[in-house]
Amino acid sequence: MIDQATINELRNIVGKKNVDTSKISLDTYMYDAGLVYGNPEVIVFVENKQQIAQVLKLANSKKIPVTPRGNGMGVSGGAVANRGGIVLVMTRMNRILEIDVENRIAVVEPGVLNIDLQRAVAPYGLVYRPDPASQKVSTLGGNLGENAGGMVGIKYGVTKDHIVGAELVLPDGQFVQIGGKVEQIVPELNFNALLIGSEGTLGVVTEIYCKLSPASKAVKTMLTAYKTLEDAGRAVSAIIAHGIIPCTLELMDNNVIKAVEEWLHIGLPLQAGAVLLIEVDGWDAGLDRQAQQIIDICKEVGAIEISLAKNAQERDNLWMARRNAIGAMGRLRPNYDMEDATVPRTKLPQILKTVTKMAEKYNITIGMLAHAGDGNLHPLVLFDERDEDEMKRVHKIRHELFRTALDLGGTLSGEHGIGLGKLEFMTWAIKPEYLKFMRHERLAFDPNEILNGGKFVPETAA
Amino acid sequence: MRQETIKALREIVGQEYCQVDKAIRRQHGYSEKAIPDVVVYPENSEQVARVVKAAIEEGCPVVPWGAGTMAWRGLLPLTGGVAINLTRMKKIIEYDYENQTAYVEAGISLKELQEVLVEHKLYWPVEPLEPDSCTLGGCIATNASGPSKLGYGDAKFHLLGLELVTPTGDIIDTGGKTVKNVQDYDNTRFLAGSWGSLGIVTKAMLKLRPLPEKEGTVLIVLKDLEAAAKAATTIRNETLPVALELLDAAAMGILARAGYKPNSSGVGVLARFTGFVEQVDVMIDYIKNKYQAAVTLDEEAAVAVWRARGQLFPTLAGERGAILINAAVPFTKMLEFLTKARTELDKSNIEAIMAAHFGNAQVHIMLAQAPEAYAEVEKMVNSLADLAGSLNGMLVVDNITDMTLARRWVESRGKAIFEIMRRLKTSIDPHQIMAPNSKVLAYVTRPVS
Repeated sequence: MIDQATINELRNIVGKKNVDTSKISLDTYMYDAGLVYGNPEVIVFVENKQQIAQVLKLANSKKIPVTPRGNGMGVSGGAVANRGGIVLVMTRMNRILEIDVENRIAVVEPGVLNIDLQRAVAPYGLVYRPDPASQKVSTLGGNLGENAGGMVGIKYGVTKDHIVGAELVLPDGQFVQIGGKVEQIVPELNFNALLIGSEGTLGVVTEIYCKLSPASKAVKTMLTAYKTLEDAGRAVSAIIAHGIIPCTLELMDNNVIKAVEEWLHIGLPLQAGAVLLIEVDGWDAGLDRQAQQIIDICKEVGAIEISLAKNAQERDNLWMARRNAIGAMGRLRPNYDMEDATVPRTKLPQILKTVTKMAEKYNITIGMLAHAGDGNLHPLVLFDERDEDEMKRVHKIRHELFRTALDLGGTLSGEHGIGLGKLEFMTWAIKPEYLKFMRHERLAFDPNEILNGGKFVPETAA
Repeated sequence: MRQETIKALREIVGQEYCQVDKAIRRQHGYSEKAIPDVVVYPENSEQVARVVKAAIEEGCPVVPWGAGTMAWRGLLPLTGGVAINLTRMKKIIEYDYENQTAYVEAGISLKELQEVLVEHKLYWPVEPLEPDSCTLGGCIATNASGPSKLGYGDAKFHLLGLELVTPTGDIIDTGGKTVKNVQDYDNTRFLAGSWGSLGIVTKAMLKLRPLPEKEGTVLIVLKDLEAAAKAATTIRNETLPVALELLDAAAMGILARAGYKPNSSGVGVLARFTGFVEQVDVMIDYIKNKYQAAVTLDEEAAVAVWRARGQLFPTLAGERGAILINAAVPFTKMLEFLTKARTELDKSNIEAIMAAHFGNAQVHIMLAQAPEAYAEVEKMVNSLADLAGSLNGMLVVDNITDMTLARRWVESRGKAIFEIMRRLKTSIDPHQIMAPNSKVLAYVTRPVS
């Protein structure tokens, strides 16, 4: 329990208005975009890095749990205060500190929205590549913590490929620079790799160095439809086997197609088992030939419909289904759960088939999205949280889904993280000796385990 | 080392794979004086783990070893202990060309691996200094890279998972086989470049790339550093090279000795493009239209020039040896750094060349001076380091044992960085046996020199 003296000290650090213990606020901050809940005892809004250092130092000295939080868009419980304590809200630290166009680096505070960085660098012909579906509302601090992915992962990678360093505050209030803006040439350990995707268990970032890339000069967008999921899966493998690396390769199954079509009436092929949204980008020269190669390949594996966008307007139309897929599915039932089990690319048809069977077996509607080029599955499981029996079946599906993914050589999570949501499956995926190794790493940064304690790396593993 | 430990090691790997012969030990050491007591050649990861446990029992260091081509850069002298030579572990366990992955033992030679991968038009896009002799495990432990790191990144970007024998003799698996994976800390990339300090990489899941449809190389020789740096900047800004190098006039002189004779003297800009035919052509045409001096090299010449680029250091070093300086500055400070560094170098009568991964804003300065005689150039190197520092960059010497400069940059990260390192090393390697001579953790395993 946090006592009044501590609350007063917090008020001294960040100002009275930035410490909130009202019931309504505590309830508002009890969840993220996923399915797990936890009530904090106090919400602290920070405005600068010195405040963060002081709050952490105080919490560390009293061993009070701290949960750093951006906009709470995560889906694995990363921003949920599972142990009470302090929720440290970073959203007021939302300044873009520097856009260094010539050096292609942006320095941002962790509360900056992904989309705001995109908009700020676009006029310079630059782009920050990672574009998670949540980009309009998720913060770069959150993106870093979860190693967020997006639609262009197959060609351009994920967050960890585009963040080159950060300033970090440790639980004892000390600052360290991780990585940096120039090529890292000194013999030292690469803590940047450890930090990205560490789910806020190593420290709190106060500045992030984002690598910017020149925007692609041209893009070709295709929407291709197939009779079955398997055909779509074969198309994915065939495209890759031809040495083509599209920047986008998104799959939607029949449930999603129907949900979108019923809502938006955009003329999607209702009879299709699956559609693939495919995009190639780069320089103008040769892009037509690449697109034609892809069209030929898709025809070969039996595509029943192929549309190639001729202009920006048509491109937007082709993207409309994918952009609205989650919203369309969400309309159907009170709740949805979107998992991100990931398998080697060629195993995608197999896991899609298995999930379809699970949906029938447990009488649950599942719509299937996938970053197909990455083997990253996004089954949208629909249910009503208030229906106990249905919830039991949903949990069974989750268990079977993760078991299947691991058996196919896959992983529990491609881009959403472990957090609290998948903690129970960690021992399936990772040997006890490795859990112990990771625990040592975590404790080297946060010996008292005040940051996101009890998440990601199970505590039993030491 | 106790006889019973030697005996135990023999039992683990077999008599003939446990060598105490001095000639063999010398091949696994830093110098004549600093050599291991024994060299073992395990056949599999289990044997590696048992060797580590035997070393814990003995209380002696273990150092993983591949072809030994990079030891001079990342290790400090160490006397005694066990060298674990991994070159018998060279199996390709799985080549899944459809998923563009390969699961491979660490001791395989990179050359041999690439020859197998090319059968399905794939390759592992890492260009170490000695591609013909080095091992895969060496590339990973050192996070190897070459000119193409501009386009593809260094070794860590091409790994999906690792098998590691930990300093306590456990066998763990990081990452996996999928291209996206966040179920563990990214130890796959973290361990790449850790120089054995936290364990021994025994297997790796490699992320492969399709061979590009076309590759093209352009060489432009210009009159001075300024003209060359400006051209290189334009190329970086207006096209997408996978490699973009700048060689100063002195380096161009050595290039001729290293196997490629340029048609004219001056400062060289070397750019490589890969990808679809049309894209490569349009970029090369752009450069040729812009710079009269630009020459497209035919395939044979391109191979020769890149090979010679890789041979600059050994050519300059010869029998005497050479000092390898490594600097990084912001891209926008490259011209200033190169010009001022050249002026500084010209004050001395020691032959010095500069070769830059220009696109990465990284510069190698090579001095024709034996590393043992570092003291004689220390003052000049310190001025170069101050120059890099004043431009918000950094500079170290790769192949000396003095860690003063390296420590300077690491310390500037904040004192707490050493506390993190110390806690990490002591908890993961509680017996303090794993590659204690690795520079990356020497800040906490060795007293300040």
